[in-house]
Amino acid sequence: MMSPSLRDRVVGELGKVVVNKERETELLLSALLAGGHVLLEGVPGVSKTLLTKTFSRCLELDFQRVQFTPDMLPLDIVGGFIFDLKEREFEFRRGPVFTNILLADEINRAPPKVQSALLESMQEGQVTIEGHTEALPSPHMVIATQNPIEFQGVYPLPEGQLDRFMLKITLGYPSPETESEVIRRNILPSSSGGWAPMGVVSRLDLAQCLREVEEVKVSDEVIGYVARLAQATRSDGRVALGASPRAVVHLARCARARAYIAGRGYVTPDDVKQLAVESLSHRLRLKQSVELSGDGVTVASVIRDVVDGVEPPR
Amino acid sequence: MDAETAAAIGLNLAAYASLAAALLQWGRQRPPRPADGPAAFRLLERALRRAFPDLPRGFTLKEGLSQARLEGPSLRWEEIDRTVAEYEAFRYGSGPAPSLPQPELMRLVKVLWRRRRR
Repeated sequence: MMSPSLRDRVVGELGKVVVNKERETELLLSALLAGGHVLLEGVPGVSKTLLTKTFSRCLELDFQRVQFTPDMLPLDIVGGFIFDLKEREFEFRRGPVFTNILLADEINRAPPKVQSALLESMQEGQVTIEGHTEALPSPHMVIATQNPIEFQGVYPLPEGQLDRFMLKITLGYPSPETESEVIRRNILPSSSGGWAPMGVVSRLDLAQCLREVEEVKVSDEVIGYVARLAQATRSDGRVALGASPRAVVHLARCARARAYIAGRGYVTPDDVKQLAVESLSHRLRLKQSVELSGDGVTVASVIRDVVDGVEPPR
Repeated sequence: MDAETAAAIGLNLAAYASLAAALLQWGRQRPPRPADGPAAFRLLERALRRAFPDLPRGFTLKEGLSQARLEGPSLRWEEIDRTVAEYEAFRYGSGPAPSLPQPELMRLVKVLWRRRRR
């Protein structure tokens, strides 16, 4: 069973580079171990790319970054057949999606065709082009970023595609203390080399963790609790679109990974509660009248109300 | 019956009634005795509800306990945390059922039970 010290090693190593992102690191680790993908939302300059890059380096995983733009084609992501003049035949050239961790930067800037090509590969774990199917490497995780305040020149992800992300992590502005530390680290003389993260979990260890996480017990009562939470989101009068069955499966799987990295062989209702906002906030839609009411009701506050109202097994 | 006897009977009645009321009050302040380990945790849940009526319906034991910790009764919290972890391993995992006695947990239950009556 993965010991919490291993989690501490990842959090510690990542913390040498990215300041004060313990919870985000833990969420990324949970999603990775649960086989999920993550949507990172935040304004520019809040360490979205640095966090992702450092995370993959700490886990010794292959990393690719793709900057999404409006003129992209699906070929730029998943790859395609290129004619090899020497061999006089078409050869499949893999796109950047064939990696362990893909950072899809500003995913909402790419046209829907590109988004759906990526999201299809996320769902299936493989790419099929003209009858040719290739499996993606394992583990495979897409970390997509988007800026919440951009409305021009963007193609917002539709609900069905948002639902494919296991978690949405929102990165806000840092506190003054954190920001001071960020400045301190970034004005170090270049000769000092700064902080270079080291791999703290080998691929072999990670593969073993991925197998072990599936052995963590999710009791029937906890499963029932997750299902009741989903029902409660659907019956809440303020919600236009509640949690999907896929959302519930994602929540249970991620709670299992969270229990695992805490060194437990079983999931508790606390694991579920701790992940509810990140797991459901991008899938729920509030009624327009609620959004426009100006009462300060947000998706996150509705989820917190729902969680407070559903009795967990004790 | 002369007036003196009647007064003495009245005085006795009043004394016994106040004693009975005090006993009743004392009994109410004492939580029931749990039959086994899991029952002790059900009792803890009731005690948390009594002590903190503002706890939401969806509270977990850990959340209730962190509220109790804030209230600051000077208890051996490491022991309580360990007992709770054992109970969770039984409740949600495949661990053995916790056994009695759990003195520190029961001390907490008593503290919480009395808190309501203040």
